[in-house]
Order: sequence, then structure tokens, then C-alpha cells
Amino acid sequence: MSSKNSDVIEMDEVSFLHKLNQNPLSLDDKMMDFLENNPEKLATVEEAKAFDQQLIELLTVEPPEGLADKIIVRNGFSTKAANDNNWFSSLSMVAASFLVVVVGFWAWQSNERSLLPVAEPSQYAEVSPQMNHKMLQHILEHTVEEATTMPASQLAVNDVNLQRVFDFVGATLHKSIDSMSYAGQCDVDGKLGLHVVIQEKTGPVTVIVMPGEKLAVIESFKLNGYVGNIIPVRGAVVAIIGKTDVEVAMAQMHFFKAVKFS
Amino acid sequence: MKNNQRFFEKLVKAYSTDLFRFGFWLAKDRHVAEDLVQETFARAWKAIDSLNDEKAAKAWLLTILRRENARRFEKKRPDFVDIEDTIVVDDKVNEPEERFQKELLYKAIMKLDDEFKEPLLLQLVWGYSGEEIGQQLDLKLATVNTRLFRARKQLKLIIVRSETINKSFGGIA
Repeated sequence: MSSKNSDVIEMDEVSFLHKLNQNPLSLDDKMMDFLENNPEKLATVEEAKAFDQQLIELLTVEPPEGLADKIIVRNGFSTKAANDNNWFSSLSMVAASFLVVVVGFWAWQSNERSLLPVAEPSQYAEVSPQMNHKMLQHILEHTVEEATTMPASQLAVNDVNLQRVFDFVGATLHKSIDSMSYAGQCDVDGKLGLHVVIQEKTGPVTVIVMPGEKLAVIESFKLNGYVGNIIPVRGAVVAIIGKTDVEVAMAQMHFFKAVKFS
Repeated sequence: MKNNQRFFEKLVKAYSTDLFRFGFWLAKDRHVAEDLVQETFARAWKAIDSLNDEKAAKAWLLTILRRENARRFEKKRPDFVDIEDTIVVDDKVNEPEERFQKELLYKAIMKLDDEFKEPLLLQLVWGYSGEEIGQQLDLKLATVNTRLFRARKQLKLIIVRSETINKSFGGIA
């Protein structure tokens, strides 16, 4: 073995192998010099690299499908929403109150109009093109299939799980929703939303909150014997669906009295 | 708030897979590993305001996962499932001989003590340098290098022993 530089202490075979086994995939200058002088050790290096490659392949186990999404859903929207942007929360309270008045007036007006014979649209005739029709279809399916099966029992506002499902859509439940009988997550067209059922005197009303959806103005619709409103809120849209305008308006009032979007 | 959410999502997408792998090899169980990752990120979200630097967050996440794993042993040692049956034997790509080699290596990693396994995982899965491993595990560089050397030596030794035993019984399975 010869040295290219007499000032540098030569690497012997033992220290070379020791270093090789510390990290075969990264050889420093001294190791390269050693290899240059001992080309027969190249095979040992290749063997060590192949062994590490095998190790890497085995160590890189696949995580469960959708792990990152699950983590984001479970943690990403919880606990913080209530603490931030308090000024906006206050503003949204005022906006919600105003909305209730406007919607109440609209419901009264609609009720007046409903005394006149109106042709029932067959397919989304009164739905604005702004609303995603496929999503609306899913929401209606939820309404038809599930609303009547929900038992009428008051849910505790301090229930951690209940708070969690609201947190998930960026909402804060600061008091019980009058007559709410169900609240849980639902899958609408592949997206997770909040599904609430409010038992009004005349029947159940479904409220679906879809985070990440946008709408410029409040939309109303009539479809397959159901009426409803789709209301844009901060970071989401809220769809409220029932059998009559009055029960939808009442449910809307109950919902926005208790829920804030921040 | 939005920035925090974005940063949190970035962390989850960047590190959940590697954290899962690290947790899996420590816990030797996929479900436990998933729980460890979930718990790690739940803690990260609670402390998101103080996690501004991504590099620091990466090290912090790993520390939390290791701590959570250690806490499991304070409570109850879980029953390990026979994962080699589900992972290595379920390999349809490799020939029986290669599959056997993989299985041997797999078992060898499983048998490796955590003090050797952790530096190896940090180097091969996380791509950490010796210095970074030392910082993460609170070890001197010389100790890290010794452990990396011994980890590989032990793995090879376990494999050689297993092969010898296997040959003396005249089969691969």
C-alpha cells in the first residue's frame, strides 16, 4: 500500500472496514484513497452497498393508506378554531343574526307565495349553477335516507366528540342547538362534512356543512319534494334541507344561534 | 390560524410516512405504529404555535414519537403480532431463495436492540448524518459510529447464524 501524501496517516484495512460498516453509501476521501490503493476491496464495498440497499428496501414499509389525510382530519382543525380571530367570530355572530332575520323574512314571503299553484321542478330547476349539482344530489340522498331515522334526543353541548365534529368543519358550537338530535361526520361525494339533524315540530331538517366549498350568495332550491338553502359561511357552505320553508327557516335560526364559523 | 394549518399539513405530508416507518420498527406492530404517529401529530398540533422551523419540527416530531413509544412500556407491553407472516411471506415478487434472505434480514432487524436499531433507522430511513443522529439521540459522534458499525455487524451475524442452522436442517423454510 502506498500513500499519495506522506503527511496524511494511512488508513489500514481494519479502520477501512470499520468505516465502511458505519455508512457504506458514503465514502470519504480517506476511504477513496484506500480503495485506489487496494482495488481488490471494491468487491467488499459493493457487497456492503448491496446489503444496505436490501436494508433500505426492507425498512421502507408502506404506511396505512390515507394516513396523512386521517391525521389532518383528526387533528388539523381541532382546538384552535375557537381561540383565533375572535374579532371575526363576533362579526360572524352579527352576520348570523342578520342572516336569521333575512331568512325569516324570506321564509315568510315564500310561504305567502306557496299559496299560489307552483309547478314543482323535476331536476334542479331552481338551483343556481354555482352550486355543485352532484354534491347537492348527495346531500339530498343523505336527507332522504337518514333524517327520519335519527332519534329525537338532545345532545350535550359539552360532549367532546360533539365539539370535535364541529371543529372539523371550522365551526364552534357555543351552546346547544335547539332540537338537535344528531351530529356526526358524513361523506358527501368523497368529501367529509358535518351532518346535523334538527327535529323541528313539523319534521326533521338536515343541515350539512361542507368545508372548503365556496358560494358567492345564499342559494335556495326545491327538489323532489324538499326545499332548502345553501348558505356560504367562512371556509364552508351550509346546506339546510327540509320539507317546508318554515321548518327550514326555523332550523336555520336554531343552527346559527348556536354555531359560529371562524 | 390558516398558516398554522398549512404548516401542520405540510409537516404531516412530509413526515408521517417516515415517522410511521420509524414507529413500526420500534413497536414491531403496524397498528401501534399508526397510533404512535397519530399521537405524535396530535401533540404537534397542540404545540404548533411554537413550531416555526421545519427542521426543528422534524427533530421534535421524532423525539415525541420515541417518547410515546417509551411510554407504552410504562403502561403495558403490547402483544406483538407475527408480522413476518404478513409482510415477508406475502412477497410474490421475489424467488423463494431471495424471499428467504429477506425474511432472515427482516427477523434480524426485529431482533436488533433499539440502541443499534435507532441509529440505523435514522441513517437509512431519515437520511440523517452521524452528527444529526448524535443530536437526535443525545450521543457523541464516536458512539453513533460505533453503534452503526455494530448494528450492521450484528445483522450480518444473525443472518449467517440463521443460514447455518437452516443448512444443517437442509431446507429454506
